[in-house]
Amino acid sequence: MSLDPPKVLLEQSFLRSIADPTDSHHERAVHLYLDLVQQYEQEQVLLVAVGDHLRPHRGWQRSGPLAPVEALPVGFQHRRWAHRTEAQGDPALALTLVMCQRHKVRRVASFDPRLQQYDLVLLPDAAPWSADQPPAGELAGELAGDLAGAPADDTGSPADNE
Amino acid sequence: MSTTSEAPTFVPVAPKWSLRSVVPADVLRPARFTLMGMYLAAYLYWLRFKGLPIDRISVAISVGLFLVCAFVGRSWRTWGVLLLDCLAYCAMWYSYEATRGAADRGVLGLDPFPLQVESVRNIDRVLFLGHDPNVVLQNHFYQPGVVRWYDVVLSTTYMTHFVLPMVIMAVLWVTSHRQWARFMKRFATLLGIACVMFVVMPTAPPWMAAKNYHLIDPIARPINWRGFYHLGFHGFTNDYKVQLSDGNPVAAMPSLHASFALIVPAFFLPWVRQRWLKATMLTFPVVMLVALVYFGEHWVIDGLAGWVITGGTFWYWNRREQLTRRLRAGRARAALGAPAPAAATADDRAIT
Repeated sequence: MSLDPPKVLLEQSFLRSIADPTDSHHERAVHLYLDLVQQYEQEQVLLVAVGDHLRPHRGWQRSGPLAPVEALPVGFQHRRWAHRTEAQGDPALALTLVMCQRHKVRRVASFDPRLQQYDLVLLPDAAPWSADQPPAGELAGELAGDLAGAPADDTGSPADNE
Repeated sequence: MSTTSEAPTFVPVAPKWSLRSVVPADVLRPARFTLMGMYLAAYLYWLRFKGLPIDRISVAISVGLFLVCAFVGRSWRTWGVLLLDCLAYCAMWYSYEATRGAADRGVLGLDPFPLQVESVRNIDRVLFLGHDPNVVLQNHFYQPGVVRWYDVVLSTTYMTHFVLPMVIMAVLWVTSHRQWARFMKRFATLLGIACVMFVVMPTAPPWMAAKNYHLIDPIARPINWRGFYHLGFHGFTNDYKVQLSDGNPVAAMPSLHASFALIVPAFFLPWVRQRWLKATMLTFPVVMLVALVYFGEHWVIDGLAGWVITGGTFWYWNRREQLTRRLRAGRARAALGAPAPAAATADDRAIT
């Protein structure tokens, strides 16, 4: 049993989409992020991101759009494991996988299709999306149900918690 | 007319890679579990044959050893955070001990505040319709030289004060640093308020009111060790007697025994869904208060004050954490140009 609410990791591509208004996923990313923020406010989820991936958006923490997001600090051992991780030659992807594994994160907000190959719950899903759908609140309810329905993913042995 | 019909197409679902199979295993994880298992075995051995360490230094050493076992192989940053946590933890206990020890001798060059004896006795008498609960309990249940089952229960409950909060802290330290910080905020606030009250309102416990001031009928004391001694924990009792001699004898208000007995179940109540289990958990502080009164260590009002302060710390920190979450969420929404939800706006007005 985990005492903390389930973690949702905001992956690098998702952070970029939020930050860049010209990004093709920007509108969808903001929509989903606002739903996640609402769940964070109700203490249903914890929003986290890999420390290295947050670095370009450092000014956005504390008082910016990423104020609710906690950084997962990257240590030497994480980089060492990422170096040894088979992740299609992409160090950033490898680091994301390592941090997900080490911090028991199973839900990842990302637009990187490569993450679909791993046993992670990706947000948003691959369904087509328009600004009008899903209706406000529905996505939040679905996500809350999803998170509540699969708590086992976030349970971790005490000794693994960093 | 074509006779060929289009066969249904099955899109094969690509097998997903398990993170465990992709990310290298943490080779020191088994070592951590082994070390923690060995620690637990050694602790139980020590508990049975040497007694339970209860003085602050022994407890700090035992907690430190446990943390070393649990943090083997963690990142240097984690160790650094742990070190800072330990320093804050030690500073908290040192401040508590220093203030508590100095309270009856005066603090910052000031004379000690007037000792409360009659006032607390009178409050207890008002609460119990003219009776002294300490005297009544001892008259009905205490028998010199005889250890009854309730002596064992009450004595064991009393002694958990020296162990239970520290065990909870150590477990939270390992399982969730976030929850450890939440627990410590409440715990440190409680200790801080208690220290201030020890200074401004030194209060004589019932045994002192009986022995030195003859304000209530004589009561037997100390009898809090008998049940635990009966269970075979002799080393624990001897250590406790040494520890007791260094304490501040007029630090009765509020009762930290009662407070600590409430803070642990109160912290975990939100995770418990069954009502019967919640009720069972909340009987623990009640049993503790009965023990304190039966042993003549505290007035009833001391325990009630401890509960009120504990409730106040939870109320304060719960509101504060809720407000912090709302502030951060509000900043995110404002930065993204999104309106705040109507319900949250109304709640924000209520908080501010």
